[in-house]
Amino acid sequence: MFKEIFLFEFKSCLKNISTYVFFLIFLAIAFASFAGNAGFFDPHSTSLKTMSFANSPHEINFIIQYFNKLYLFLLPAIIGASIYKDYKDNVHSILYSFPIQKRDYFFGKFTSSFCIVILISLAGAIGMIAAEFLPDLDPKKMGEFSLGGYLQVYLVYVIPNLFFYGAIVFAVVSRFRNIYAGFMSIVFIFLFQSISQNAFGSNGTLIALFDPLAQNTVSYITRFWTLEEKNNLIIPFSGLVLYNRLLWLGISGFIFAWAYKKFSFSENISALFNNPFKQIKSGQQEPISLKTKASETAIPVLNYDFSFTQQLKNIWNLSNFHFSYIIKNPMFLMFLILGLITVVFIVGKVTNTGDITLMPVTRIMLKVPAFFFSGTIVILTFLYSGMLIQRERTSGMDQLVDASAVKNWTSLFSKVLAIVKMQLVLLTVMMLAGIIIQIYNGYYQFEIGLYITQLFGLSLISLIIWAFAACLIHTIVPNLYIALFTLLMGWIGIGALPKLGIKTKLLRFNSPPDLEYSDLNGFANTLKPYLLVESYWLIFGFLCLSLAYLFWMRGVPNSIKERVSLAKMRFTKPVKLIVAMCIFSFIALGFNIYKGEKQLLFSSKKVMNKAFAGFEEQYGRYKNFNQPRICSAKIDLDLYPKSNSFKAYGNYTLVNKSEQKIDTLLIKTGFDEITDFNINRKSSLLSRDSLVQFSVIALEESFVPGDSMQLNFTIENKENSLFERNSNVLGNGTFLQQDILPRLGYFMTDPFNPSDPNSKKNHNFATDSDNLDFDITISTSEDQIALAPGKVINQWSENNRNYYNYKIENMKFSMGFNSLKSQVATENWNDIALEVHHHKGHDHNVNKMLDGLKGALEYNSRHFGPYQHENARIIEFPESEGTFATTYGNCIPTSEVRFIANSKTEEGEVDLSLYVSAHELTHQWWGNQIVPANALGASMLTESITEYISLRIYEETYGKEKADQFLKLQRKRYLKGRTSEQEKEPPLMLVKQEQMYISYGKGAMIFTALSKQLGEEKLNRILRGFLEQYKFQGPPYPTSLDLTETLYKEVPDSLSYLISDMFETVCLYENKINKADLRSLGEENYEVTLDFEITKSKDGEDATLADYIEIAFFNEAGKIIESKKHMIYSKANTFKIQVDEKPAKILIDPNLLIIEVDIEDNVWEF
Amino acid sequence: MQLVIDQLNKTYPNGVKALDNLNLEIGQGMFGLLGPNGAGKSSLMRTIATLQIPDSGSLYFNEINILNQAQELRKVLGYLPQKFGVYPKMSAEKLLNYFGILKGLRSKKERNIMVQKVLELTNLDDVKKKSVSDYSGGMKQRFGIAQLLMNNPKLIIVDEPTAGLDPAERNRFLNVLREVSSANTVIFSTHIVDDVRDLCNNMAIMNSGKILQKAKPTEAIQSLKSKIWKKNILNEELEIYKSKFQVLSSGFNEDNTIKIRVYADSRPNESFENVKANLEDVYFIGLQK
Repeated sequence: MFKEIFLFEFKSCLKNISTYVFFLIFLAIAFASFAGNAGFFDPHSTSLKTMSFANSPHEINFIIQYFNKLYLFLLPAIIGASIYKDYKDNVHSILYSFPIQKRDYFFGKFTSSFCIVILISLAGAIGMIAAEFLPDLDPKKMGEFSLGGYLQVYLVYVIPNLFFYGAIVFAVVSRFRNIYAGFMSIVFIFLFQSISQNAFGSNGTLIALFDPLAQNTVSYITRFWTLEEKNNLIIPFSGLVLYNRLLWLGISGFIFAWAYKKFSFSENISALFNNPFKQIKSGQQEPISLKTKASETAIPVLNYDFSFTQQLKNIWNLSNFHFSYIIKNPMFLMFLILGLITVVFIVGKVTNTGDITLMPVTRIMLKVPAFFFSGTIVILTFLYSGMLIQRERTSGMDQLVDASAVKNWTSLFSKVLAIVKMQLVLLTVMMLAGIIIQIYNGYYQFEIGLYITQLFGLSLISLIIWAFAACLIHTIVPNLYIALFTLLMGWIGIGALPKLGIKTKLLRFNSPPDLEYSDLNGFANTLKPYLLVESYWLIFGFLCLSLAYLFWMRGVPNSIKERVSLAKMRFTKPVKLIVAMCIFSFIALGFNIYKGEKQLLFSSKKVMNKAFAGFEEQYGRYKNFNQPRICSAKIDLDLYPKSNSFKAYGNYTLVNKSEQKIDTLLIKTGFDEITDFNINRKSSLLSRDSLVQFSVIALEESFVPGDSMQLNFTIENKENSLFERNSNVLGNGTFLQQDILPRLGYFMTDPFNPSDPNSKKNHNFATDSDNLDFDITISTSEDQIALAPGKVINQWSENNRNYYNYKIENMKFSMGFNSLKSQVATENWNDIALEVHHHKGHDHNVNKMLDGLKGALEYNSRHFGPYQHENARIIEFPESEGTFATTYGNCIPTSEVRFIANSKTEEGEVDLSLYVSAHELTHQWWGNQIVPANALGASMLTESITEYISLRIYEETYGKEKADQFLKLQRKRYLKGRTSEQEKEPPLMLVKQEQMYISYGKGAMIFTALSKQLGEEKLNRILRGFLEQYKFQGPPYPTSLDLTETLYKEVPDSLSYLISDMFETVCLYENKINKADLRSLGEENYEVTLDFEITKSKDGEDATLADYIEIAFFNEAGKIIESKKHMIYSKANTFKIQVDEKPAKILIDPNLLIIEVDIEDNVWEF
Repeated sequence: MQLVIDQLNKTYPNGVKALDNLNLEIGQGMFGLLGPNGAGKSSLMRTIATLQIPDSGSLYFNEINILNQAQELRKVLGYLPQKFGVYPKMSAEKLLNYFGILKGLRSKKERNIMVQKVLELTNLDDVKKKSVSDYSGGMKQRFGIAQLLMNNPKLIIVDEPTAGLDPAERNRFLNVLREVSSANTVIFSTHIVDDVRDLCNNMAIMNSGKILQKAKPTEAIQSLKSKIWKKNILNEELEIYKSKFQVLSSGFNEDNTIKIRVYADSRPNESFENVKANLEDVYFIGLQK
């Protein structure tokens, strides 16, 4: 019987058109997305960098796993439906009377539909493989064809997942006889994945183990893979994968077995959701013949009202019926609870763990969880709009309702309104959850206004648009599940459109530009484009509704022809008028968007890249032209926050510091600004690139060595366009940087190698100046204060504006200007004034920041000499300008993100506020006193040393344990950063500016290790000597090579291998304890026989060993018994070590003196 | 008060001709539409109830052109389809309130009055708090009547309402229907002759999408007076009799002989016995036309 049932089901699925539709949809998506990934739609990249292969096993796994999630939605449609249809069509009452064995029926149905799902799921692989043979793919993005990659992802992930969750769906549907329950169980699996991702903090092993789809398992085992490895290696089938698969096999198997056991061929179904078979047995009690009293027969004459206003009332009343249907549904409640749990965990992750943790301020509450939660609301909107539109038909009440005098639009709008009410409830829940989480975290600054604006204003528009679209699809597509699937695919597909080259907002349904919110500056200019695009799609939504109205189902099932002719009949004058008005406004709004996007086109990346390429060709010959140097600068800057504009006037004194005369001036002005300039010499403009803003000026009279001249300029901002901000002046929190100012010389130069003597001519931050003097007058509106580097010389008010005059001497060209409504916290350290200018309410971290400044002054003055300014200021700027902190002279502009960082140091977390301000102030020594040459490795002299010192300051404040914890983060930063490196990883001394994972992460590890090897005092003494040698000097500037040479001289010979390993190569170790035996020697003495391996590689090749490796022994209490460095000469080692206490744990390299990818096998526990 | 159906045609996509040039006029009172399963009764009912569009023809109820003014008709229409369900887990009271809104009752107060009234009329007052989806078959049919009364309809259409009801339930249902039919046009379709006999003052016999005969039940029976003949025959003889006489119906006796009823203007032969005509005879004669 099993065979017959299997074949019957299988064949009927094959006859079903939807099977092929699903297959083709996946085939098309897979084909297109592969083609997109492999660069079919883009011009081929010309860069020499390594690209991620579109067809590497790792990438195949990533993409197919993504498809896997979509496949899961097939499970209710196919596996769930296979058993549900018997209930729906009432076949079960007949079927169950046949002599079919339960086993055959149950497994036959499941197996056949499971096979169908597998067949459909193959569409993903087939589409991708087919796309691999497309012509004109980017060869940089294609590796060898890997059949193994496809086989692996299907055999280990896709098919098991489909089996596990197919079994669960089958069980749930057979148990509850409700196909929506099957759909919900899939959504629950996704929610569970979200929860498991967020519930275990940073414990990657548990996240990997509990992920129902094993996506996180793969990303966990490959987390430190470099691009090279991702492109070439097969994902290992490790123990973790196996345990994950077994765990979920167990869970799903249990549920399946339970459903099988409970399954019986009776018509009684579980009472969880409803029970239509329960009947009132009433025939007996009632008298057979009954006559109502004649007086009662007359039906009262009442008022019937079909007016427009009554219809509006009816919409409201009917929507209440539908609304209560939704919220009384137990599935809705379950969904809500699970959704909330997920939100709590996600928020927990944002606010409590991870590298940078944030205060639960309202905008954070609204950002991450709202994103997740609005996704949930969209899914519920799809589901419930379908259930409402099909509600009469599903219950069989359609003919009763259709024959009543209710108007079609009344029915339609009552259902739409019910959906919107549901959305409102969910948004309210979201808001309450946010507030509760804030209270739980002890944060009481609720911004109810912001909650309401964001949730009930901005988010709601987008949700309503989805509701309109969902109503249309569910009206047109009568099969609820196919409609639901269409919507889900559309929702996901719209996100993928830009990848396929469709970037215009005119075609991407309901995809508004991102909103940015800052506590300082609100939504600023992101609000207008958002509202414009959303109005455009809202109007489109009304057109969808009109269409839904025209095709509204009324009466017995109509053929397509009948529905079209009905729609024509309904297309009456008022409808025509509304549709015409909608189309008109749709086009009008669309035209505005089109205009905005056209402006954008001119500054698009493609255009700019082309412009720069052309520029390089035309102006490259000016590369080595000798130029004068800027020796002093005077700038008057007026900021107008209200109108987002500024005006600047200034002049530079230019001096020919070289030995040759100069005939040509090269001037680059601000990219986003309109600049006018002139020089006080006779000259003529030779040529000018207006896109790149570069001018070549011929001097009539040569500019002789030692001579000076003036460059005068005025600067204005360009106006903001719809989708793009051209002016960096904000309503509050303006942060202008030096890129608005004119500069000299050809600027597109690559940094030199440190061994090239040319590198020492310029410092790393400017090629047109050495240290110089600035005189800045800056003004702003009366409610704000304006800040620039230097000391306030004068300060006054005039014409309702605030003016400030700042002066600073002997500083490298690095300049930033701030203006904000500010609160100031001040403190003194040895007569140095410390200030923090921050937004009102952002005071949680101010004291820690001040502590950081003090700590840095303290440590650096002690070890490296005095601080060069009279004060130091931290200035807050909005998140829209960046999330970083930086140093301009004595100013430290710091992103608002860092002001809301949540540093619960008492709970063992890292205090980034203190750390970052200590870091920035340390740059006064390492970056301002000593300025590195314009060469590779420059940031080793600034960032790496600064990170090391910051860590020392951190240790002095919080102790060794906390500092070690921070060091582990630095290690992670380095190893994580390597994974996305597109070039060959350079050693530290050749690090590029942008390779921050090396300069910060690896740099911190290396200097810290060096300080532990040499002793902190000794290392600092060497560093101080180096600093003194170059402090406040012009060219020749120091390079990383200069430092390593100094180190070679100062370090004892036994350790000089370290300098080579650390600075000159990419040196990685791989250590492992194989075995450890413990033997008691009597008394308290023990002998440990330790069998371990040490391997070392340099630049990817095996290296010989003669290295000190530290091995530590810990007792039961976790205290170190002994920790010694041992000289290791070979890979395999067996050591006998005596300790005078019973060891409980052995650890290789406890202090992270060397760098190792996998340290989990460095430990042995008895 | 008159429903006029003129030259109505409907062919389904599968080729079945459900309505075949159908003409019919129906006045006030209870009108029975009698026909076998598949005769096209439900198609006709649905078409009158604005749920289905005919291929051609016209339908008028008084001044209302049903095809063009569906909404106007729905205001005075009460329709009980052959099969219907209700929203699960909703009480009769609540559901009727819902229909009250759908059918245009203005205020909540008026809806409550009407709900109470129709519940009393259909004797569902005691179970008004129970879920309709849990009702027995007869109660559910009475609920169907209750909902159609909510708009005080002038034209009531009930499609095979007694099918599947036990005799007691059927009687109860017909009583209720009789109560409400007095001043309106009620069209009642059935394949059970007794329903029509018990209730209707006018009737039509329908088959293959056509009206075969239209009559008043009493007059129709009257017209068959002394034209119906009965005889007991052997099972094997049935075919012979069928070819010789107009056999209306046949049925087994206890001794396995067969009794047949034959329509003839005069006694066919001595062995036939005259019997009193009944409505069933009218129906079968109608079908054989």
